[in-house]
This record gives sequence, structure tokens and C-alpha cells, in this order.
Amino acid sequence: MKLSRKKKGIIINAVWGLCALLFLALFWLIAYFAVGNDYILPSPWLTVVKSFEAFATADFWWAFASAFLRALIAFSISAVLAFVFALISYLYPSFGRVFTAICAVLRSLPTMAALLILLFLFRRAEVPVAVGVLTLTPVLFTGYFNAFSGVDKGLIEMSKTFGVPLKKRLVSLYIPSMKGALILESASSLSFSLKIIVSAEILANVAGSLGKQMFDAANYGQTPTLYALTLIVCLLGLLIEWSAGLIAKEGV
Amino acid sequence: MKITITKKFDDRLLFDHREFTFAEGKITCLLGESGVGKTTLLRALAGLDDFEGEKETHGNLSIAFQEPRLLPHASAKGNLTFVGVEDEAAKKWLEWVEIADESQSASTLSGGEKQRVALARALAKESELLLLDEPFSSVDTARKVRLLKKLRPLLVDQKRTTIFVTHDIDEAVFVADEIILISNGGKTATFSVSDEDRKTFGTSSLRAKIYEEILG
Repeated sequence: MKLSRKKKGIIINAVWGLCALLFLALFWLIAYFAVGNDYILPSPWLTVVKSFEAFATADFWWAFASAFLRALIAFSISAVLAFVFALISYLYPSFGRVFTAICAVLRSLPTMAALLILLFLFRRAEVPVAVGVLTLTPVLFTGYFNAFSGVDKGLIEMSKTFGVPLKKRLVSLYIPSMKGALILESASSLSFSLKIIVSAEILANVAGSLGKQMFDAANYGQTPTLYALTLIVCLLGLLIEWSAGLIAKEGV
Repeated sequence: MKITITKKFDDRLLFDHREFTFAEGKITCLLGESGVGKTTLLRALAGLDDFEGEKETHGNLSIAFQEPRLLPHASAKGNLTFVGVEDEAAKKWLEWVEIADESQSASTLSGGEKQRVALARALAKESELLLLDEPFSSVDTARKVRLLKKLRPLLVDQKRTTIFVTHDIDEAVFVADEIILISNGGKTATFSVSDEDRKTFGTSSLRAKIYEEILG
């Protein structure tokens, strides 16, 4: 059966991805034997067993669902804010200069310091979302602003010369021109959002969260469980990024 | 329509308080080699670039740019309807410029096809002023001759003030009522073109006069 070029591409990428994972697993195995202490570095096999044990518990799935929901909320708020600010910056360059400076400050802000400050302002369960918004908005703003700026200036001039109404220009020129960049930028940020949320949950010690489970595992010396949860979050994050990338390519 | 223009490009003075007059309802051709300022003058007339001087205002305008400037994600027809041309009119104008498939995506058209779609867009859009900037530079010779033969009668019928930029003398004579030859430094020479000139251009004195002016 002859495969299409697109399907061949997906299979090849999957094979290379698998090779990369196998390489990492091999590296882990070598490190495990070198360290020789299950408490410090558990074996890959034990970690996988603990992962399946975690999968079997309802607590894990509730915790993952709440982390994913927080990631979605943080991403959604950031995407809306970033889009609005990017649009305003594109239309009013002076505002753009101010907001770019603000984004630079936000990017420089130590995330953990921001989290500790936010604990005074928000409830514990809300802090990861706030941290997510603070971290993602500057990243998405830059991406969306570049998408606006990347629209062909010749086409903009043509449309204005022919007197094309603004609404038609937005729908038929700007959005199709920007769609690809917007989707790709958003897809990679969604996966990044999950990582930020889980990190914030650990530090904010949010009850019932994935982060709390990791924190407790570390606190009680349950290293295999800690590694297992980290591995699961890592793999799920990769799955989200891969899925979002596939959807993005279809959309583009 | 009148414009008085002083314009520099980089450090070169293209026009120094030079006045140009374009007869209403007539076809004027700007002829000259690359870099003398033909497109710069056209863009100043269109209000797309700043310049020192003054110009009379005009109503709405329609333009075929030097580059096609088509929406890559739209079809040939979609590029005409984008600027407000009705579906049926778009279809008619695409046939006029010999585009076979109106639904073909602009991104898959050849350079010549893109230029013809851009020409159709400019012709289809109703306006008081029509600006055409080297609309046939990428079009193959045989098709260019067919389109040029149709273009003048069409423009005469429409009675639009038309300014047509080219560096090709034959195109200029085929289409224009008047040719303004622009040389380096903004020097100009104006030639009227009669129907007799169009018939006998290969051997007429008009060609000799234009060449004499070019060669200085």
C-alpha cells in the first residue's frame, strides 16, 4: 500500500521521536547503574511500574484534569490579552513600545518570586493560573505582534488604495495571512502552559493537585513516585504539543 | 489633472519642481528607462508617497502595481471580488485578460497570469483615474499583442483618465494619446500620438523623433 507524503512524514517523525525516547531511556539506565542507589535515582523499570500504579488511581486523574483545566484557563486569558495588546500595538506604535518594555520586565521577573507575591493576592488554587498568565502573555504578545507585522505591506497598500472596507480587510487579508503563525504560536504555548501550571502547583502547594502529589512524594522520600509523576507530566505535555502541532498544521 | 513635483530618491534628484499635465479622459503614457522616476511619479499621483509640490485632487482611483500584489490564499476571481468587483463582472474581466480558470488559487498562477489578474482587477474596478504600472512586463509577447490591441479601444470607450507606465516604445504608441518621455534628471519631452502613427509606427517619423530624443 503506497502511503501519501504526508503520512510518510508523520511516521518518520514518530520513528525519530521514538528513537529519541529510547536514547534517553538508555542514558537513564546507564546513569542508574552508575549511581547505584534507588533512593537517589530509581530504575526506569521501577518508574514505569509506579507510573501505571498512578494511572490506576482516581486521585491522579482528578489532579491531572485540574492541572489541564488551569493550563487551558491560563492560556485562554493570556491569548485574549496578548491578541488585544498586539492589535493595539500594531495600530498605535507608541503603545507598542510601552507594552514591549512591560513584557521585557515580566519576562525578567523570577517566576518563583512572582508566585510568592501572588500568594498574598490570590487564593492558593488560583495562583498557578495567575503565574501562567504572567508568564505566557509576554510570550504570546511577541508572537502575535510578529504575526500582525508580518502581513504583506504591499497587500495592505493595495487594499487601502482600492478602498477596501476595514472589516473586509480584516477578514480577507489580515486573518488568512496571520492564521498560520497564530495557530503555531498558540499550539506551542498551550504545552508550555501545562509545565508552568504544574511547577506553580508544586510551589504553591495546591491541595489535590498534581504538583501537591509531587511535593508529597519528594517530602516522604518516595522518589520512584516523584519520578513517575514527572515522567507522566512530561509525556502528557509532549502529547499535547504533538497533537496541537498536528491540528495547527491542518489549520495552516 | 496637474501635478508639480520635486522628489529625491536616495540622494538622487528625480524631479525638480517639474510640472506634469494629464488630459482628462485621455490616455497618457510615461515612457523612459528604469530608474528615471516613472513609478515614483505614479505613486505620487496616487497619493501613496509624499513629495514636495502640489497636485490636483482626483476621485477614486484604480491601479495595477508593478508587482501583481494578489492575495495568495484567494482565487483569481476572489482577488477581484475582494476590491468590490461583482461576481459576473469579475468573470467577464478574467476572460478579457485570458485567464482560463477563475477558481485557480493565486499562489499557483504563473508570473504572467498574476500580472494579468492584477490588470483585470484595475480595469474592472470603476474609478475616475486609472494607473497602470508596466502591466505587461511579465506577459508573453503573443498575448501582450492581443491584449494591447483590445486595451486602447476599451480605455477610449471608458473615457477614464489613464496614466500608463512602460519602458517599451511599441506599447506606448499602441495605447497612448500622448507620450511623455522622461529622461535622467527629470528632463521630459512630450509627443502626441495619432491613429496614423499607430498604423505606421515602424516607419513613421514619430519613432525617429522618439529615438532621437532618447539618444540625445
